Amino acid sequence: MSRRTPSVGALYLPGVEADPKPGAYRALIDTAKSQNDEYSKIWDLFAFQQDFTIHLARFTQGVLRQPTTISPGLRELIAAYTSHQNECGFCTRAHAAAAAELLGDEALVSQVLQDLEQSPLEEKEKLLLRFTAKVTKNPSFLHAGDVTALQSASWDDEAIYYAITTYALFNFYNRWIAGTGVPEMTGQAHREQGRSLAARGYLRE
Amino acid sequence: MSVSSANDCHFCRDSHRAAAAHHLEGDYALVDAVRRDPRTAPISHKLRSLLSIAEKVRQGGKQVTSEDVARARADGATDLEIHDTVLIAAAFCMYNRYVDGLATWTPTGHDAYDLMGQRMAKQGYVPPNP
Repeated sequence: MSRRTPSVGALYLPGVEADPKPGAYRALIDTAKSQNDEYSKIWDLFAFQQDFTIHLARFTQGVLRQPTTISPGLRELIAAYTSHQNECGFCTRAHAAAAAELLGDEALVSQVLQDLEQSPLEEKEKLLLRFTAKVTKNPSFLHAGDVTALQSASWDDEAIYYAITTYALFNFYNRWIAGTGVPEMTGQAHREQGRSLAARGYLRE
Repeated sequence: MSVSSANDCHFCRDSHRAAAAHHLEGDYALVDAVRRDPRTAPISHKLRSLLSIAEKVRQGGKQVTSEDVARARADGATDLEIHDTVLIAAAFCMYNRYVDGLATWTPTGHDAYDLMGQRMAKQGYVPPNP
């Protein structure tokens, strides 16, 4: 983490922030605080209910990193795009940074977030992002035709499964993060976190 | 149940309606009153505040403000209860999309859901070992 002023802003829930349970996240928080470093306040949420958030971290690692027919970079881009639809600043910046690292193209990621249609992303990938935006907005509007359109664009069922699970997971994270008031970090801290997520993933055990 | 109902996910709505009823000694009438309108249902101020936060979380995490949290606290909610409300509402915004996104086959009829709700209330969510 960058050696800057500590994260500005607190969670809405000081009772959560003040009660980290012993474990990997508490150790990360203690280290960051002792060095006066900015840190990702999502760690406070993970530390508060360490007993079961550990399973959430494993689930996240599987959904975003398990080798499959859709690359981790594209899954991170779906995470960032979904977070952008849901206006979750922290998640958008965190996963845009991870996507930029994994895809090796920061400009492409910002173009996609600014205007998907005008971006130089491949049409096949745009189709997947349009699909995730549609079901993020209106989950019950999905119909079988939406999925067959993806299959016709030669996405296999495994890729579609991972795409659906990714946007569903971020419809959770965006609300957990924004609803508890996790603040955005500085650009530098988000870039460093993106590099860490790209290199070592989500497991902290 | 309230979040799934507003998201129009019938499977999640009906299974958690039944689970809630089984946690409340089978009181489907109370659960249905909450589903129709939490503002008029016979529930505590605290629960009403928490359900209002859950609805805001459903619309989008950004809708929740520090004032909403302060109101729930004034109505007697602890930070743990407020956090769990946000966590549960957010989790169902995932589950609803998971179920609908994968076009999961879901049963119809009260009995299947009642049985499911009873199991969820008594055994929880981790499947028993075979």
